[in-house]
Amino acid sequence: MQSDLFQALLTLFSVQHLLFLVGGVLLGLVVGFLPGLGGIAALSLLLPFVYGGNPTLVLPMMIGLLAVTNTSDTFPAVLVGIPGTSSAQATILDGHALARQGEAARALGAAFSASLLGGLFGALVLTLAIQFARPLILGVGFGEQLMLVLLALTMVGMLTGVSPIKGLAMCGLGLLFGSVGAAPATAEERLTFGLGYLEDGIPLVIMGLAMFAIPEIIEVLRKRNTISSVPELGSGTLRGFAETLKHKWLVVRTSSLGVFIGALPGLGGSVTNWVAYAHAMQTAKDRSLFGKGDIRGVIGPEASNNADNGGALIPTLMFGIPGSASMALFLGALVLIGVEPGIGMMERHLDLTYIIIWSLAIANVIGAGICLVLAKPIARLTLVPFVLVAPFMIVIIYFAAFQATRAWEDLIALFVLGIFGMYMKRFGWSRPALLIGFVLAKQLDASVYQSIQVYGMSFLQRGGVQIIIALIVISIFVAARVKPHRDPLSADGPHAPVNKMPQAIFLGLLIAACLYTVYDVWRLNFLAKVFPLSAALITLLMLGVASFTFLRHRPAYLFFDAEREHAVGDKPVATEIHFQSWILGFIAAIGAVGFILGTFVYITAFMRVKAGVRWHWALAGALGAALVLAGFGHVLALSYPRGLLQIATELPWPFD
Amino acid sequence: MTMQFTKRAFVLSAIAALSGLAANNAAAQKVDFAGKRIEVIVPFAPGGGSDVYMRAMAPHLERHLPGKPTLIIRNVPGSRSIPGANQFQDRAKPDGTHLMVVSATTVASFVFDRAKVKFEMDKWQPLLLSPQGMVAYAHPVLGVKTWKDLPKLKGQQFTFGGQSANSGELRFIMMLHLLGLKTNHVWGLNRGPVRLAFERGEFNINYDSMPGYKGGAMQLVKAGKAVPIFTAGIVNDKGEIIRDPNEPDLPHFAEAMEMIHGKKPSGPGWDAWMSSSKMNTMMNKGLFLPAGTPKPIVEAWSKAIADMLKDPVFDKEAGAVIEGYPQFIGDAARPIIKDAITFKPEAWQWLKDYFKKEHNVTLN
Repeated sequence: MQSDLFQALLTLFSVQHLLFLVGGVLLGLVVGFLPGLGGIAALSLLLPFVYGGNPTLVLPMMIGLLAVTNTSDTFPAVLVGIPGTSSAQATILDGHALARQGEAARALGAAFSASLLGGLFGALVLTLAIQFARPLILGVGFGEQLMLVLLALTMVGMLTGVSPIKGLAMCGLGLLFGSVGAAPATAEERLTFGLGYLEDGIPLVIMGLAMFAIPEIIEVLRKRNTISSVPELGSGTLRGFAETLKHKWLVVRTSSLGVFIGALPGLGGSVTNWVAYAHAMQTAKDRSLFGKGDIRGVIGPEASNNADNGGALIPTLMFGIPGSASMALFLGALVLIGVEPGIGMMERHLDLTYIIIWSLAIANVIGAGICLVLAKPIARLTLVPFVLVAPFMIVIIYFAAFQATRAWEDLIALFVLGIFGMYMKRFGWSRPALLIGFVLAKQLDASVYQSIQVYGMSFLQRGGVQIIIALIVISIFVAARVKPHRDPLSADGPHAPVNKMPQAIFLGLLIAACLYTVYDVWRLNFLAKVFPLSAALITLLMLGVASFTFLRHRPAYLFFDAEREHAVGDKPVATEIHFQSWILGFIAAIGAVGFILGTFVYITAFMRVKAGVRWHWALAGALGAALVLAGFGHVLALSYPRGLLQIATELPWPFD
Repeated sequence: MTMQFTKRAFVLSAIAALSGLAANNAAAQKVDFAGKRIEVIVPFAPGGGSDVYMRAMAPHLERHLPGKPTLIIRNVPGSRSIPGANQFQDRAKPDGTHLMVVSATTVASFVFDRAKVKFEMDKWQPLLLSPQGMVAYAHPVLGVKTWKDLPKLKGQQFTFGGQSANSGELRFIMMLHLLGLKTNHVWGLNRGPVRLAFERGEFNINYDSMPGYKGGAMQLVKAGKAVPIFTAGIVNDKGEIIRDPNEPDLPHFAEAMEMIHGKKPSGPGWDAWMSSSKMNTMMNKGLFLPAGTPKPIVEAWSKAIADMLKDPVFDKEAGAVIEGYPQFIGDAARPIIKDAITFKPEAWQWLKDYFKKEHNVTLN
């Protein structure tokens, strides 16, 4: 067996194999870097070339691609607060906070080294798991899955922000957002307003962009000249690397979490990074810097989301069951090149299994290496006046949103939810708590119903279930004991009951949303409504308690309005509505002349009016963006939103 | 006189035939996709069965189409493939550069969800239908060792997991119902997790489409953890159900019905199943051009597809996607499509009652 292991390594180190592997890695880095595109987009591009190919060449390429999308997705997350893929959402909290303090290179250095170690850990566990993990995975039935989802949900306790009641209400609201669409038990539509678009639920990509990217961009546009508040990059990538090594046990723990969650079908990367973040926080002694630029908040999620790949390969190779969406594609490709995963994979394809494992390890090294080298130069982006970067970012964000379902509704959904996210940020409602509720909602709803349908209540007697219940109790206990770091209350502090009206309106809207949910799901079958109804009622209870405090006129952590935080000399240049109107202008331009031409018009106008650059520079920037979009569209076979112009007349590529 | 007339008629008709042939030839030659980008809509996310089907065929179609065009595959996923199909209906031009991939789900949406469907699949020009069979298998704890033990299943309690009652699972849950097997349905699950739950023993009866069966469930069978019991069979050109060419040793569903009930199946329930089986099995995957595509273009496409299917390179590299089933090219597919989307009135009524009573789902 050991000779096979090293034989596979030797095979990989021939020039041809290495070239395929590196090719896959480069493609993976590019799609990971671009928000909205991930391993799935790139892998589907490779598929036609995969069929009939030599497995020892094709496998390294595919694995190389999948292994590193979670490495390069950190760039946009840290630098501009845009999740490159949904596995990078938690990295934003502290990574982007660091970038704003001029520590982008350090944050990236820590992130990439954590990715590297996490990826290697994942490959190591995979090597061992293919020998031993079968009974473990078969031990996780519906009851255990339900309890694991509940355990993940308790992580919300760490992410509620200064006001636990607001955090829990947001988690409940996340559960409601997540239950939009067809009910798992009966396929009845819930909260869809009769729109076909909402039948499959709100896309996660759009939720992530709306919660983080949009509020972030608007805030930086309003407040600052550059993303970084200091004019020079502070410490470099090496310091970040050293910090990862210092927190080596955190890397090991979060990598283990990543492998474990990745190995369970149904959860995956979007959950992993949040659980890892909460775990990093749970186990830290001093939590005062979390959310404000604690390097551990970068290391935890980044180690876990790369380890996730090793985990996701376990069910893919051992059971022939994909651990994630991109693994589904990988599995399809495996079957077509004549590899049959599942029982006996180790007997039938031992050589290929080892090639997969080595490819995973080597790809992580190459991918993280390339990113580490690029980290410092790319981090300089945070020193560029943001008003020059912003229009391009807005285009990229809307490009990413459109990749969710390739429908116009994607753009509208992002705009509406982006406004919601912006006010959540302003009034201090926890966005991470909402996202955790959101990513777990469908799984929670389905696994409650499925456990009871299969076992009745007897699933509670299973040993595995009881072990996880014990963990849940510990997790809640830790969360309850943790005092969030918060400023003392004072009559004129940020939590004083001054100018309550905007906050009251927002609170009122949240209550209305819950009431509407109750009204909307009332007519459905019991199995379809029990979950959203419970979530709505619990959320209403939280909001009710909040309203009660709200009516009393004394300082409370419930009150918060970021608008009051601005120092006298630091007044924002414009209101948030002002920049939201600019975004609306972009959508209007797309609606009139389509995405490519709309981008051209929009960037020109923005550069000219907001940034005040000369005409020819504005036009050159806009042309560049349009050309890149057209080129990408061509190579990746993407389609873009069409406008009235495209409906009225027939235009040649790239304007179609 | 008569002689002369005949002769003249012959000459005339010969000229007509020749000129017709020439016209046809000219038209066929005129069809040239050189330098063109052909847009293919796959109404599902990348990685699904229909996506893999199309992406596997794409390079071979490119080689065989006149002018060797580039095929651009666009995934328009979501809502049981309705948005993708609606988009094709709205935008596709009948010039041979817009192609649609259809799966059993698209057909089911077309039949069962009239309210949201704007596309007119019955009018589209079929190019290729690729049937896809399925294999049902049971857990050994039920006391079955081979398909011959089928009658032992009578009276046992079954648990089956699937996506939802009115999706692609329809043909299978109807089978369980028609066999008279009492089943506890657990919804909201994709095929992969279902197979895992089957292996854990939480479900005791399951099925997979042929690629899923060959790619995964077969390992369970070899390891003694699953027993294949019957296939859906396929429908031959006489409209009869015959054994699946990929699993000819397993009885098809009609045989299974006979083993359990002791007589040949008939009645509205059976008719409803036959229609849904044509929908799910015979129309499992397909390629379409828009309605009103000119004949020469359809012929050029049909020829390219026929050539591709005969091509040993295709067979070696991508033949797995069609799994050795008979393929229906061009207008040969029309009768199957008609059968699949038209239910006899009594069969439709039976189906409505079945959905309402067993699954609390209302069909309109």
